[in-house]
Amino acid sequence: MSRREVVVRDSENDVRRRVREGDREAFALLYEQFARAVYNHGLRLTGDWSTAEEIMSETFLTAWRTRVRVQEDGGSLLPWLLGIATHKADNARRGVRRRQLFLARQPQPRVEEDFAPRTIGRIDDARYLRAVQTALERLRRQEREVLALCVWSGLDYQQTAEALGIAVGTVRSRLSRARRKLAHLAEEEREPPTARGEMTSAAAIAALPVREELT
Amino acid sequence: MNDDTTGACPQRHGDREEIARLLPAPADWDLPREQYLRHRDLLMHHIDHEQVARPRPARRLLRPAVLAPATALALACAVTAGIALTGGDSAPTGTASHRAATDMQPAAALLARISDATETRVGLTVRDDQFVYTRRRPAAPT
Repeated sequence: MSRREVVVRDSENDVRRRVREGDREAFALLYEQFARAVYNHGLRLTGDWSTAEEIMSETFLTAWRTRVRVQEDGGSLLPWLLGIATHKADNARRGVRRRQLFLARQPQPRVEEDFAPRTIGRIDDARYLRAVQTALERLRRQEREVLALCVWSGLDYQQTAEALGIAVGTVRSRLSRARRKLAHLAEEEREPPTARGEMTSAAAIAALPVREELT
Repeated sequence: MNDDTTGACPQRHGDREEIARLLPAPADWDLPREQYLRHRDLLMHHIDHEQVARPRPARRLLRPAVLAPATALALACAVTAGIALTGGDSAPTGTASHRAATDMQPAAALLARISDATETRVGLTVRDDQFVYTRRRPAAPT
């Protein structure tokens, strides 16, 4: 371990200690450092901006309430926060699903999402974000969560395991299943997409639900 | 993204990259500054509120309350609270209620005097779970 790594680890453990003790400034710092990452994690899992905002806010409040569970030693606190956010996102998804089932039974037509306050460049991002949700629907919750943490939020296997409270081996096997399913989905959708210019099979998966929506 | 801390076999390690290729991460979004600050204030307010509301450690009674005179009996609760808060001994017992600290100061002082007087006159040791009943003639009017 290099000297720099030792220094980083010491300061991370110092943050952990202060968080455990309920140090106000440590939480202010934690928020400053990780609010954006937590927000985006929530957004990728739910595809909804206001839900992501709630997830972020509630994650830090829950972190405060459960601060004594933080271990003294163990590096960055981001996995801990993302673990909390993952639970909240799961709850939110269930809620959304219930609402959608309810709306599906109602006679009125679906309301189109309003992109007016967003820039044109963001429309594609927004559409892709929604499309990704449909792809995620094809995975089991456990696979979805490992994917979001380990692939999109950049946690390593160990950190993903820590965030979800599971074994590292489980992270690997879930990731591997997610990969097989996505590859299978991509196989199903060989048809070349048109909406996003140069595309890999990746975007093909995501583009599929968009096309379905437009027809 | 491309850490190698796991020492996994290349095939396994490829899962991450392959998924990233199949389903790239949606672009990062910024939470509008206003909301970012609002939620930070909410968190800080919550923390401050809880830290104020957190109960302070209870303090030990300076001396056992001797509840002989009728006045002391009537104000037994006030004695307990008052003496507990004016005392400097900080060893915890968990028995003292400690509400309305500042309001109690004059009453506590008076009751302390009364209990001092009673203690010297009666010469009895009374535990917290005991009562002493005394019969007295009313004092002559001055």
